[in-house]
Amino acid sequence: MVRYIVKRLALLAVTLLGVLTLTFFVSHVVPGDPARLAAGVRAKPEQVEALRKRLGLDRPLWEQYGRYIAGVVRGDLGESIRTRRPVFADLAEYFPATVELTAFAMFLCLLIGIPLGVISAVRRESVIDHVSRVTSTAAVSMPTFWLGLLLQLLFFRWLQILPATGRLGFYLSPPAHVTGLYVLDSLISGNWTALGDSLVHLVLPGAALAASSMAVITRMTRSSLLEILSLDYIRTARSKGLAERLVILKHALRNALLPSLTVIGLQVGVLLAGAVLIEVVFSWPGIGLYAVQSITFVDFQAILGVTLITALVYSGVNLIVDVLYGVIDPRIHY
Amino acid sequence: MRIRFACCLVALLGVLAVSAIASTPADTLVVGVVEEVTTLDPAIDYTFGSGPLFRAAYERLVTFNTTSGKIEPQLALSWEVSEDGKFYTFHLRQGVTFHDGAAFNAAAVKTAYDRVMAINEGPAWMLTSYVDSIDVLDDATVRFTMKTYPFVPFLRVLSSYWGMCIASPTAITQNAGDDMGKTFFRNHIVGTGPYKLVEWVEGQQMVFERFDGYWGGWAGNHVKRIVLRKVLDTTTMSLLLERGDLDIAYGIPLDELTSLNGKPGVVIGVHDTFTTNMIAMNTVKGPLADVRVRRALSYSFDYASAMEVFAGYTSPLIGQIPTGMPGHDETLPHYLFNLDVAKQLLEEAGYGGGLTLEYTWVTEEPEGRRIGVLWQDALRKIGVDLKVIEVTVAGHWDRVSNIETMPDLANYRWGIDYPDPSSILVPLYHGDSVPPAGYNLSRFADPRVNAVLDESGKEADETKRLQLLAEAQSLLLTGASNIWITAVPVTVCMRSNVQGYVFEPAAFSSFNFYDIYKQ
Amino acid sequence: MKGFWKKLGRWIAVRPLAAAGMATLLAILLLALLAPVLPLQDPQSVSMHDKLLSPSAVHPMGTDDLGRDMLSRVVHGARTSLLVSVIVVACASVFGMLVGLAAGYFGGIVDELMMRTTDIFLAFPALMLAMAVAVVLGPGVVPTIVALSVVWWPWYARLARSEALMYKQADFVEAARAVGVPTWRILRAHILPNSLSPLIVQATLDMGYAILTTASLSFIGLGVQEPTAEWGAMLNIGRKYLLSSWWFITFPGLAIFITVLAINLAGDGIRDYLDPRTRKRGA
Repeated sequence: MVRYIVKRLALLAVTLLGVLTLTFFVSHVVPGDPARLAAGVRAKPEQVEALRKRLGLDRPLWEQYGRYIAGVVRGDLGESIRTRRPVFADLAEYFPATVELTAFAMFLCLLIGIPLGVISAVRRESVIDHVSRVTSTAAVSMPTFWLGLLLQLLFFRWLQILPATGRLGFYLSPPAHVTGLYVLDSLISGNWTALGDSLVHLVLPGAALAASSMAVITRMTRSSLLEILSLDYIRTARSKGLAERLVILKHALRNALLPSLTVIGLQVGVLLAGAVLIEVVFSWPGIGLYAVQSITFVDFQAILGVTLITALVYSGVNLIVDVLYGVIDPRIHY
Repeated sequence: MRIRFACCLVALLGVLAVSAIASTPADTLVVGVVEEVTTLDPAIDYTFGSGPLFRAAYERLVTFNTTSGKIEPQLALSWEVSEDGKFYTFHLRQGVTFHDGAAFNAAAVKTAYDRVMAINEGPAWMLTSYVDSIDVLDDATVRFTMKTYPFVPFLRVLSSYWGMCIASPTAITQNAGDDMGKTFFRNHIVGTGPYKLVEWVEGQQMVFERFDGYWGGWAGNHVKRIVLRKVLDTTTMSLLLERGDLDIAYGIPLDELTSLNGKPGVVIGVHDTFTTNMIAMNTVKGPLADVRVRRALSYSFDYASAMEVFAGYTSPLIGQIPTGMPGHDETLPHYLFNLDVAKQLLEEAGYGGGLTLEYTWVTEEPEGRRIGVLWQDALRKIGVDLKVIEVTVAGHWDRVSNIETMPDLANYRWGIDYPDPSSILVPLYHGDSVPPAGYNLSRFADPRVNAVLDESGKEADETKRLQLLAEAQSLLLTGASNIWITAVPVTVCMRSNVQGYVFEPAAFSSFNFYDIYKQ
Repeated sequence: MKGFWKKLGRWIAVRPLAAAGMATLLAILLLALLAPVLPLQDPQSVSMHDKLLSPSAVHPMGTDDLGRDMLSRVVHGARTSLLVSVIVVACASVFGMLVGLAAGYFGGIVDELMMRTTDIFLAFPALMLAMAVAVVLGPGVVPTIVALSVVWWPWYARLARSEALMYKQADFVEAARAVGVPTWRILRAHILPNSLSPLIVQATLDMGYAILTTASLSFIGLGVQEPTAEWGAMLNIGRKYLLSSWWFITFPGLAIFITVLAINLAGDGIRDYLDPRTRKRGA
């Protein structure tokens, strides 16, 4: 097991290096002069040259690459030319917002997806089952960002009960910084106004982001539960006269959810990817929005930073899922 | 189980509905802004986003009064200019303190401006190009020695809020570090202005509070707190204002204003800025090197329909200098939309059989898209195929700074650095301003224009100066270096209880906070 | 022929949803193909005085911010969206298949190299890489196709690799190798035809996803450009008028939704038909 994890971690390091190399060279052929942009479009040529030198952009590409990788190893992600501060500081500011949004969406997925899947399986071919199937197919066919726009139109424009953008209401200050997740921070500091308000702001983007993953989780729960329910030991349990509720919750569901772990893990990646567009639609100040802004500004260091952190989370989740799978399922040995 | 769940959901929605309703506190002014703020350092920042914050917390030696067109005192009470224009001597206001308690005096002016020039980024050129040295004559008197003189618009340069904001000398020396205080001033504002910065959540909001030691005092009507709320998504702004979440909404898209028409408690404001939108024509390479083709294109542009891109809130630009700025001349001739004339001119130039041209517009200046597509549709009728290409700011600068990649036509905006016609004509049309040195994208190089512009910088007599500027403008119109479209309007809408706001086209993104109050 | 209709009838009866999806998809394809000859207004004709009109008899879907007829643009948008996604899937699957087959068949260093390369591509959201590539290439239809193909091929490469691994040891391949058939011919004549069908199924199922991704890219403003009508690009502009002109985002979005839904429903049917293992499950 330990050897397996070590091997995976080593592979992860190689992959990350590859990701950085790929992004580095792709982003450095983007048309546009970063020194000119950093100095301001109206800066005089000498100012631009001075800044180019200071940012090391006058060096050959290979040297810049070497310096960058060396910096990353030391934990230095360079300086953003757009926000004019270390990329690390930017990520520390924007990433928690994405984590909060993704976690909330995942929470919705599990909270609604699993029970719905269970009901659909238990009451097979019932109205609920059919409705859930139709909605699931619809949900995966819908562009996430369009769903977001529709929700804004409905709940913000017409019903006027939910805010459309941002993490907190106007003139409210964020809770004291601990984790950067407003919901957690406001709980910790007992700031109930901020708690309510940040939850309110999570509803629409969270729901839009969750929709398609929720559909996948519902369908998956349903099919694996159905499979388990047809197995012998469930029949035995039923024949022993156990209450149906107990059979499903205690025996079937637990075993049905084990194989779902991979699917749920994969959905973390899906949510993270979907967050890019949702953040744009809802002006959610997370790394997706940061990435889009950085790309149009040809902010190399920022783009690289975002890529690094996303790749880390992506691969990290995969690794955790694989390891957990081995821990839970005794048949798998590494 | 299902019923319980449904109950929870209903309860949750109820809570949400209640907490979503909000209105702003009476002593707080909540302003929705759209522009990005990435650094608070007055020596580095060179963006429109800084307008509101710099005017809340910083002050300059002098300011420009748009109504009178005159320079007025702020931290300088009076000044003298030597006969030859070499020395500018300022007599400073006394009893002024910075937010950190430091006293404002001649040394403070020198320290602040020396720092801007030493850092030499962003707006610093406005000082380094003209100022040789700054000397402290006594505590209340400071003298600027000019590098190039006479340079008539210098006082107007000093009225710019870019680079001219005076930061506390104590803060500068104490936080110098090894980067001349760049790290400190990126996140802090220490000025003499009426409000001081108390909170900055990057990309979200800035909170200012009244500075008790402000030299202007706090008698009369003022607000206590100012919240600058960054609204990333301008589309939602009109509704936020309508609901009372905002007191002032800056930058509601023009097409959205119809939804605010007749809404109680809302005052719609649309103002022409000193920023102009135009299309540069490549006068050295390709078919547009021929002035007849450039004139043909000038006639093929539907100026009236283009105003609809701005929802009809503005009018076509006459000459190059927008209304309200010295040098604007209503009597200048201008091109009118006439496809027949355009077609005839094209035939004369040998392009009767058709022509393909490239047109770029910049993502961040979204009117360029509709202007391009509108023009494309008109040009189709006279056999010109216009390729409309979207570029980012980065891509735009990359293309236009090299003649090999410069498109035939490039839509762009130009905002002034300081409220003087030279801030438009020199960087855009002087032969020495070809990129990357300046912003003469069309590469228009007329020796007479150069001479007239050089002369106008030295001409102290206002009437003579205006004559020179008029000449330069008509030469440009004849040469058809660009298609001049309009002054770009901005929207500043507010709740009807907000009083005292005055729009300033020279600093259009900023607010005269000290004079604004709520009834 | 009669047998075909009978079969079709039974299929519709057993899988009404799949049949409905297939019918919708055919209708959309037909609309897209016939768009230029249909009695629609010119999708590129600008009229500033007719901008942002709400739906009416003249403009059933309203007009956009340049006064262009939305109905016509939505219909013409189908051409762009479908064309782009078909080409993307085709490019990505062909390239991925070639790489994957080679890797699976040869194994060793070639395989290792390919696996590590795909690792890199699969280690972060495809949209992000596509965004970066799209910025490099600039806007337009062709750059969009390239950007999306660049990020999509690894999926097919992995699939093709596992297929090749499976057939590499098969008797008929071993036999061919034993009699000295050249490698490229083994790949072409034996491995490729056998691996093709799962790849084609996968590619068909991916069409919907390709349409969504194309729309996403243009939605950020990095895809197809004016005056070409494309659903994602229309949503990108329409978003600016969300509060005042609901029709602007509603109809292009609906078009994407219906098309992808049709593809997914039809795709489910096709998969069940081709793959008997899943035929019963979930029915």
